[in-house]
Amino acid sequence: MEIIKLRKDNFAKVLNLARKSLENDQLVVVPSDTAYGLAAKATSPWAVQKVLDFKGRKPEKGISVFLKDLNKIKKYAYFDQNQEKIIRTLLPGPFTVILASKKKLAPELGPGDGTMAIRVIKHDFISQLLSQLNFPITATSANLSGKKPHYSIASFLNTLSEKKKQNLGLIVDAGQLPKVPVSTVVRLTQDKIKVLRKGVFNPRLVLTQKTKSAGETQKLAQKIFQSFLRKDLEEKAVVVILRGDLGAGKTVFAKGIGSLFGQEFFSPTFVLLDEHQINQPPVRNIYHLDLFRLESEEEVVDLELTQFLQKGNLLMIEWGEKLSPWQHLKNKNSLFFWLEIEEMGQKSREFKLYRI
Amino acid sequence: MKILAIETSCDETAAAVTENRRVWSNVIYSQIDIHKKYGGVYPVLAKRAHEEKIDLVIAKALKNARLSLKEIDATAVTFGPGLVIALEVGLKKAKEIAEKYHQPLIPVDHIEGHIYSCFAQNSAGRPKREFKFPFLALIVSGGHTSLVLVKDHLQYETIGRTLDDAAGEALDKAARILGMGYPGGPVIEELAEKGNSQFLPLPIPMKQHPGLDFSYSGLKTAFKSKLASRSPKEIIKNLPHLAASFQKATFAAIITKLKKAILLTGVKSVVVGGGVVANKKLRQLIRQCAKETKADIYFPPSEKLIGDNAAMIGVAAHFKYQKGVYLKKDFDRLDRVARPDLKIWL
Repeated sequence: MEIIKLRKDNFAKVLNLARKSLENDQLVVVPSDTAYGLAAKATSPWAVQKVLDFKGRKPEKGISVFLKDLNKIKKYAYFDQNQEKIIRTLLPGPFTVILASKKKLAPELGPGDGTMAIRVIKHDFISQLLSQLNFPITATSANLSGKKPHYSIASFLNTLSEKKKQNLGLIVDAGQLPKVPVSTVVRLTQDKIKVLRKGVFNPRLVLTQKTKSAGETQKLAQKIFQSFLRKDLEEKAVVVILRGDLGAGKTVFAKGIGSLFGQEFFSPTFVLLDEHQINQPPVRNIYHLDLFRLESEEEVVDLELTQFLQKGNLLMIEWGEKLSPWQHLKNKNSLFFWLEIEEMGQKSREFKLYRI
Repeated sequence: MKILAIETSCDETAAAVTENRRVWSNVIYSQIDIHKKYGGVYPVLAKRAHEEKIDLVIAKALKNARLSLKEIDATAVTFGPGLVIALEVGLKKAKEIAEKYHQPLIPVDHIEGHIYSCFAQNSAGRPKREFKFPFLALIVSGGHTSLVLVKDHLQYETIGRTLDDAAGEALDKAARILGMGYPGGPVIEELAEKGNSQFLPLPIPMKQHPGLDFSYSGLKTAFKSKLASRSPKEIIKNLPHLAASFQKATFAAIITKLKKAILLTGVKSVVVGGGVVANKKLRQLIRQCAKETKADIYFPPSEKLIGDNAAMIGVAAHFKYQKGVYLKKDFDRLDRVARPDLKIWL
């Protein structure tokens, strides 16, 4: 086992060392956008077996892999246009995306149901390492099964027996990593996004209710406002991400809240951002947005939404999942809700409200 | 009076030079065209795109009109409705020019522009079309579906509008449901030409509703739920029929309300504007409706005046200036408005 400190002046040299170790089926501990990771050649059954042996248990959801970009995802997994849109929205970012596998990787990665778990991250070391390799690497966190991930090499080594240490080829020590929580795992193999593991955002379900008509949906919106949003608006800005397919009733929901204040809300698809001055305490303004037409993170940044995050302002954002990585918007002045709208039939809907 | 008009309310960066109703130049830099090259990526927000193109577009409009900024008498600009951040780009530029050259600044409502688009003339002063007040204006675009009673210059009464999605937006969204990209309207039109519009029976939105308002969210939902029971293969096979069926319902709602508006108001002169008017089927249906109701109908005289453009802003601005609606100084009093609803700066 070799430990090498990663510095600016030896970056290329360390990359080279890591590349050689990985090519020789060795395990390499690497820094990542979250905790330290355990990298191995994902196309090699021997290397992946080493990862499994080291961690001590096969993870149920399989071992995720780092891929460089969308082109690489295309090489290893299947996805359609809609999924591509979602992938572009989520990645690179703090998400692990589950897609149907083209089965070009070591089967030991699991989980054995024809899917694979993919991470694409913005990280200098990992990105450059991937550019030098002609295979993906495992992206599992460097820890023993059942133990927490590590953000420093010292804390990691403390948990290891001498024997375990000997199973590692190289440790790339980038010092103390910021304590970024693990990624959120998102399954795209079905039609809808399904959150399997909670990472950066931890939704807590606070309400589930079904409605049978647009009128009932509006009433529910008013109830949600009165029971959940009103109080928080006295102290903070409240952001509600409205998530549901086309025609699910996102605008209907917003109209319900608008009518509480005697205002008519329309579809914000065209204007992107509708500002409604309310001035009925605790509500100052309601911003009703539709981000569907936005294509990139930069465009979301152009909207300069942070300026609206002030006490008494309510932001209702249709297709707000595009705000990824929208945790940047989360600050001490704002509270986030996520409203998931599921269509049960032509008119009936199920609403799930999460506090994030 | 020579007016430089600027329009940046949505996807198009546009500038024009007009004099009275005559259009000396009409330059449109459509971002959609540019971005098609990049494999269908449409950064519609496009604040930066507007910022990058606006000087170029203004220079071209002046060049085509063979005029310099010094020879311009007034600047006109769209202040809404539209994407606020896109509107800001045009407003900022117009204020700069008006300030620098000591010109009056004329604020124009985008819908007002579409209304006046039917009265724009070429450099030879054609078509001659006279204003016959009162008249009805039907505006159908990606962002708007409105019926306006125009009693005189600058005297508007919105008698019908959409309660949710605009007609063009509904077509876009139908295209999206069918798995096609943005903007979907032209795709739907093309597909519909070869399709059987009786294939999928859909409700005509607001048909039974006594008023003149439009609503498209119910149609969208009905379309989607009727497709849910069909396999992707079946949908792909029947794309032209599905597009034709949806388009038929979308337009039937417009025609129903237009007919009702003519009957209710007794006004028999109708002008039509907005991007969706580029759709041949819609124009045909409107002509037919005019025939049945014995109304006169006017479309924008050229294709470039149908979608978003600055010439229509310049023409509207001429009449606003005549009525004294402009700013001589303190240009910062003019701010963008996401939905002015033909109620501000009149």
